[in-house]
Amino acid sequence: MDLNIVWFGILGVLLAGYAILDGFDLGVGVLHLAAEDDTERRILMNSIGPLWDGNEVWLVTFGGALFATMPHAYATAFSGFYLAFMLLLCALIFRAVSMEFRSKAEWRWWRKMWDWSFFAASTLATFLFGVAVGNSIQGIPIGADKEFAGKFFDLLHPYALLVGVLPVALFSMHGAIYLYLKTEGDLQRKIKHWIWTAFGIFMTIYILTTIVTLVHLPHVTKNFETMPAAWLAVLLNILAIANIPRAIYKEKPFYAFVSSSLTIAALVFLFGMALFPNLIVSSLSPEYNLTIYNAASSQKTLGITLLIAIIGMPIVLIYTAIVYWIFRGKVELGKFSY
Amino acid sequence: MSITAYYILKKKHLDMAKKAFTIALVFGAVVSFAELVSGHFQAKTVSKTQPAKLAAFEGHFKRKDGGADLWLFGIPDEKEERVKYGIAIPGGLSFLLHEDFTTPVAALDEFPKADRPPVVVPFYMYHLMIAFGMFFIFITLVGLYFRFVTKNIFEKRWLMRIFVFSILATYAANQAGWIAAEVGRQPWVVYGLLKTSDAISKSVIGEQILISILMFSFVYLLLFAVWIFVMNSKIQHGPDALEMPDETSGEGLLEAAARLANPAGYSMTLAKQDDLEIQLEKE
Repeated sequence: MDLNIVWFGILGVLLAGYAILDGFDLGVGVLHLAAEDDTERRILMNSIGPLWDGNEVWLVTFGGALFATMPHAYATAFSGFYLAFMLLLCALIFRAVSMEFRSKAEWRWWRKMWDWSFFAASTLATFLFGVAVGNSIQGIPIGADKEFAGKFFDLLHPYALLVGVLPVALFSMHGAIYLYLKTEGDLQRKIKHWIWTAFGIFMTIYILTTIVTLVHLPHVTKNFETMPAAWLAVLLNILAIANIPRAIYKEKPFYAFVSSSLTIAALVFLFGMALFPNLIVSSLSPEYNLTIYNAASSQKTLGITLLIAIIGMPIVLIYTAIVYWIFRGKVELGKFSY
Repeated sequence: MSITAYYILKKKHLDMAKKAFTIALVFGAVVSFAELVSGHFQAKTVSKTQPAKLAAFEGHFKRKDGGADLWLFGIPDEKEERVKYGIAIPGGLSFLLHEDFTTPVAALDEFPKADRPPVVVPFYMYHLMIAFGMFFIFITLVGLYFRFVTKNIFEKRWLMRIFVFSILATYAANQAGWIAAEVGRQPWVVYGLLKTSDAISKSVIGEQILISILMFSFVYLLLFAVWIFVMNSKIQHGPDALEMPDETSGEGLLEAAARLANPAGYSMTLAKQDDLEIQLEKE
């Protein structure tokens, strides 16, 4: 267990944390247009209103940690996927401003415009995340100089597009379960139907993606031989997914939310298992892979940043818990709501 | 100050606007002066850590034994390597940096040509920023005079108009400073250690950078326009009326404190009334 492996783990935790937290924010965005009138849409936005910003911070932390600890991987990925990242930034900007600007005027065209913007931005961001993951697992052309040797449209091959759709379905389900926790009355009854639909779509895409991955990219299970404990994650994943419909049927929505969070965590873990010890796989030749060893900063840097992470993480978790506690319970539209 | 001056000109929300304007005016005057002090020390730091940048800021082209001149304004000419049509204080730059009119200051020609920053943009932007900074000190002092000495500032519509538009100057000063700092640091991205030309991503081709610059410009302009629109409607709407706490429902702080102090239930406010009745009875 050396610092590089520890940091691989921490990056995984940050990524999983981001996916679980911003997953439901983006999911609410994807579902936004399914709500029909102004009040319903306001309730949807206000359910994530006080929380989404803190959740998105986990992405910044992941990016920052990657930059500090594995700068070559950060450079190759962010420069290689340059246009995709610019699109992602655009999407995240518009996701944010849609929420902020929507409530500032009363005109129907204004609110409709920001509704569509919110939906499109959330969906695009989620899709791009999936495309990035798909490309990471499959491998991208990286030469001996550690630079990306392809073009933007090389990133949009069918496997990446399939993996791109997976988080859209997953986050929609996760977001729907979250909304079920935060709403009441007629809207909550409607959302229950959304959960079932989203779950069905997610199951279909998840099974398809799993089969395609195992057939098309058999190397993803290579690490299972050296770390058989990973099978536990597979089992946990299946049980968590199976528990979601069970919990919804039994009217225990928080249990369902925990299950969908565990599903996301398990998927990120499996993603890590598929990659380890690489960060970016080269499709040109395995000797050009960017690993946690050749892409890392110095050991001293890894040590200092680990110390900062150990101090920072509990603080982040505590303030997150406090904020979630303050805004617990059903959404109530007030004077200062979105 | 810009918004409250606007309200005063339009004669809306006068009570709030006058109070808020005064607070902001005092604060603005203090901070404007503090900015001068802070800027002075920052310039000293720049002269030590990034001397080529300071030379560009001040248009200090040629090495001199003895004090360096402080150009108050002028037109820097990079080809001829001098500042034209300007007024300079002899030894002024040395004085500001070293409290001594004769200490030499690093000049641009002491650096290899490839390491020199462009002069025209940093010089103008730096001087523009300082000009605005001086303007802020001046205008807030004028404001303080009319507010506290002659006490008729709110009737001076010409002054209120200046304050309304001065908000643009604050943004301009901020941006000018940043432009001066960033352009003045070229060709370094990390001064003395890494050149900008060595820091670029090799895999990102020129067209992609252009696309992203255009995209960001478009997004920022769009959001800026929306922001102006939303801000304007908020400013026009003005502050909402204060909601006074309901006096009759629930016990006030005084009653609650009284109850705690004397559980027999004697209200402090009622006590006063009783005293009054006793006094009236005595009469």
